[in-house]
Amino acid sequence: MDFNTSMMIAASGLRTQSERMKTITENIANASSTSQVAGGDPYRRKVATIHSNFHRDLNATLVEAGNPSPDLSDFRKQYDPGNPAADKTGYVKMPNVNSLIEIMDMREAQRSYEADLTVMDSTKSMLARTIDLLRR
Amino acid sequence: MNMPDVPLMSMLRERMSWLESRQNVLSQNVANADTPGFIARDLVPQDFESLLKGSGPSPFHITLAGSDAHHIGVTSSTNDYSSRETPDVEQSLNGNSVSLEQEMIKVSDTQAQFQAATNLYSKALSMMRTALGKSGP
Repeated sequence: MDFNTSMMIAASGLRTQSERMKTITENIANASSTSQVAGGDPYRRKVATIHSNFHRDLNATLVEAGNPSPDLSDFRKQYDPGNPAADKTGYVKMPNVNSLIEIMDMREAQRSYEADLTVMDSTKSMLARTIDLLRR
Repeated sequence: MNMPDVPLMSMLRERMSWLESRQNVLSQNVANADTPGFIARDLVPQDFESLLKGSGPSPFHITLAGSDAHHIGVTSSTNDYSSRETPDVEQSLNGNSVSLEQEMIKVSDTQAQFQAATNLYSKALSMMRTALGKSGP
């Protein structure tokens, strides 16, 4: 049944977007996680990766989330000598998380998720229409 | 003569299966809306003329001969519709060319077309019922 394939594809999209959402949430939650030791590195931002792979069984291009890759940009530095994570000069390394970017990413993931849901809804109603032919 | 041999019915069936395949392609586009380098695809539109020619009994229509009625024959209708790359107007920096808005329009269009096809199918059925002398729904 071809409609089931459409459903599976949309479901793979939903799964991927929620996986991406997980990474974004992780970043936002850890936006101010500093190191446990003095002068050490804080939480490093993760970037969600998405790639498509061809499913032979379904003869369709599904989408899946890859392993999140670390963001190698520089950490922010904040002057806070009283902090236990501060180095000798009194600076604390803060995570390289920009909450504005994370919120934008989150919005994008939400939009894609909604689009996948719409496709699923529409496929479902087409399937229901076909089954309805039996009732006439 | 069985049901699929009625030209109207077989045309509608062909149409529905084309729309089904299109929905499949569109859902792949939407699922891959964030995949870097993905280019949107769409099915080649159906050609009414070839649809007309394909539905009638054609002298060039060749099927495998079977020695027994129970053998599974090769059906004439295949679900392989050719698709082509149709990049949407905008392309993001990562090389992805899926515009969600465009795809949503296509999805709802497909849904409406499918609705029309199923309505026509049930109409055709009720016409046959009228011809049989039973009152329609």
